Amino acid sequence: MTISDYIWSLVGFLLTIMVLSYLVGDNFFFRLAVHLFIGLTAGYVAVLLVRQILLPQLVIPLVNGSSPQRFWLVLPLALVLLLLVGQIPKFSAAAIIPLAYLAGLAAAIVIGGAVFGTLLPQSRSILDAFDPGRWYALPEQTWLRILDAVVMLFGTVGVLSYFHFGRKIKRESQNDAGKRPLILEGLGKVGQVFIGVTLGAVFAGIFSTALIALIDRLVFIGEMLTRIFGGL
Amino acid sequence: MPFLICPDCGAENPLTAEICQVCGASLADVIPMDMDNSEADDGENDEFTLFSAEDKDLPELLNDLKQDHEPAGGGLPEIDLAGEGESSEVDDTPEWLDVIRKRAHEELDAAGEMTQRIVAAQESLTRQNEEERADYASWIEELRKETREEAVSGTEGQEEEPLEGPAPEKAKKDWLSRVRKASGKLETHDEPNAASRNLLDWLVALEEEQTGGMPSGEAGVTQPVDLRQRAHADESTREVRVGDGAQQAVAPKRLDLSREEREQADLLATTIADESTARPVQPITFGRRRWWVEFILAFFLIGGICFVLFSGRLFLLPEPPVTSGGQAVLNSVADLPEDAELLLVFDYQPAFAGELEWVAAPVLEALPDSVKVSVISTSASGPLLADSMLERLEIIPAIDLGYLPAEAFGAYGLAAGLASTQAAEFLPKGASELFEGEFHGILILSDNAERARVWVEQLSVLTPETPLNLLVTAQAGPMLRPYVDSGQVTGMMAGISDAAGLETSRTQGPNASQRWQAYQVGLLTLIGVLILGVLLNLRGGATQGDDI
Repeated sequence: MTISDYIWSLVGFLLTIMVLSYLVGDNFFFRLAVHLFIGLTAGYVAVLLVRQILLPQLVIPLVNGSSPQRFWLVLPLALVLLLLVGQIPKFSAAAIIPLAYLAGLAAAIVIGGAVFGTLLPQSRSILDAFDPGRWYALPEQTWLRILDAVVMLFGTVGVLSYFHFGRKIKRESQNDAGKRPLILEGLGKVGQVFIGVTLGAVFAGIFSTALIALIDRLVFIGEMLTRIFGGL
Repeated sequence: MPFLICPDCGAENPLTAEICQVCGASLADVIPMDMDNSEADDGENDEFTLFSAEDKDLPELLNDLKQDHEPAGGGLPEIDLAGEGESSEVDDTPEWLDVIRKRAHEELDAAGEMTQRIVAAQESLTRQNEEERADYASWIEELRKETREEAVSGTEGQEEEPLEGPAPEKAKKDWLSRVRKASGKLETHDEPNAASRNLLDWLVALEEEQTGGMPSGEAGVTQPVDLRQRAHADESTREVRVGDGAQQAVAPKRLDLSREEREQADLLATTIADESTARPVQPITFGRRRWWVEFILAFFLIGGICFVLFSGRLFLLPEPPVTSGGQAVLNSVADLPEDAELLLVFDYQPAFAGELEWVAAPVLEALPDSVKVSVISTSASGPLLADSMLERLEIIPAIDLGYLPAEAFGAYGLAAGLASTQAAEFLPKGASELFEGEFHGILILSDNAERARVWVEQLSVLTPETPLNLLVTAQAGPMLRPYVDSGQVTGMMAGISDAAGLETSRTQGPNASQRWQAYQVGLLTLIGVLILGVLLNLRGGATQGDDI
């Protein structure tokens, strides 16, 4: 390990201790570490954008690129200039064009991906679960696959029913004004169970991830202390 | 004799009075007036001696006026300023009262003592009313007389001018001049053609203002005229419109409100009043922190983990199994052809570097040496994390595509580039590299299910033939599992539980086993803390403000 590595490891060690000092309450060292992280992150991102986005993909091609490359940079350059001009309050309307372009493009990409990458494949997956060919592919797991398909079907329909925000068309009494049809109410209860299980799994995953982060930091502290006091 | 005129109700008060004897208004700033002098100065106010001489204030006169006419019609008397109507000097004493009175006079013991007392009281009241009516009648008569005179003079000077023009205006001005003098600098102007009825209307308005009965809020009329406030607020001459307000007061509009509307109006008024209510600034408190509880829990958690990590002993905890997802990832990597190109997508934050390095290590270490690795980052710290991980694993990337600020655009651009068969030489270097890439496999390292899903959605649609594997944290795993089951993703390793089996089976070293056991100890401790918290809450109940 070089001197530079040692110094930066020591800085990391001190910052880790400062963050962990929050265990005894909010204090000056914890706030110092947090402010340091925020400032460093902002500066790092600014430099990163200039070095890896603006310079290689805009400035250098404009200077050294071929004519077709320069031509294709006119549109992003114009959008960038409009965005900059829009920061002046008098010309704030100019920023609408690049922002609208970004929003529209992002919506098109995300919606297209959600429909063709999630909705249709997941629907097909549910249908495939009821394929008898899959049920009997492994005779010892036939009932297990059938049960899996039924649970998947109930879970999907239940969750969709839970998020159905409708109401009865034919109301029998005044109390039915805000109620959903009875079958959707029942399926919605089933969907609540599946939502609860899913959120529980996510919660356990967050616990697990946080615990692993703590273990990683403790290992780092242990190694650093070994380096510091190992030579004594 | 000098006296004080109340600026609010116009009542005369003795010089020694500090507040009005009628309405209770303060007379501190009122200038004493000598009626004789003022009248001598003006020389035109003889008709208004009726009020001061009889010590008759306006509200009382108005009340008497109302009482006298209530049996007849219940409204204010119609004043025939043209002099064509009859006066109201009609004795409307009931007939039965006259009979009783006559018998009482003739026969002293005819009605008994009590009846005599009642009759005497009624007679006294009747006489008093008659006197007051006489006062009022004389005042009306004087007004009428003055109106005739003015009408005659007006006809002589200007025949086209209506009769009820200047005469009552003059009288009103004279009377109001005393109020103006008493209250200071205020001077009122009435409209030139205002009817003399406005004077009575103004009196009604003044009386209701005095008694607080002006239904301005309900009827939506103008606010009561506060003479003193307006005089103090504006030193210059201002116009006080009393006619409109008085007319509204005589015939107030009724605002019909349902109970629900009234409740809503009350709620709105309460809310508005509550908004402007001054409240003391209370510092934000997060409840009483039981720091000793936190300290004990942290001690057990950190102490237990450190003991397992650094003691060098292995405990009899179950070894992690090799999951099907992890095995699928390994098989996908092992099946890569010779000189294949593999794309690594770094999409996680530094806080999760430890977990993802642990997850990715067995996979990346299993890569054949002939595989060319390309790197792209969609998180700001991705380039640094990529350098750190690849340097530790001694992997040298062939191509570094750099940082893409928006993962949706980057994923779409990459997928479109992989799907396109045409060269994109016209694009800048970074974008063209993105479009010209041809990868035999893609590994996505992510800590966020949403961002990883964007990659899966774009790549699985545009390049379904390219094997796609996920190396994610435990918190992102559950939300990405359906994509594995549907076949859109070849394999997935989520968290340490999936990676530990491969790690221990591959390295067989004490380091991996001790980390896995530390993880299990920490997990058991956290489960114990959760159960303990539930039991404590069940026993003592959750109390607001306690922050364990």
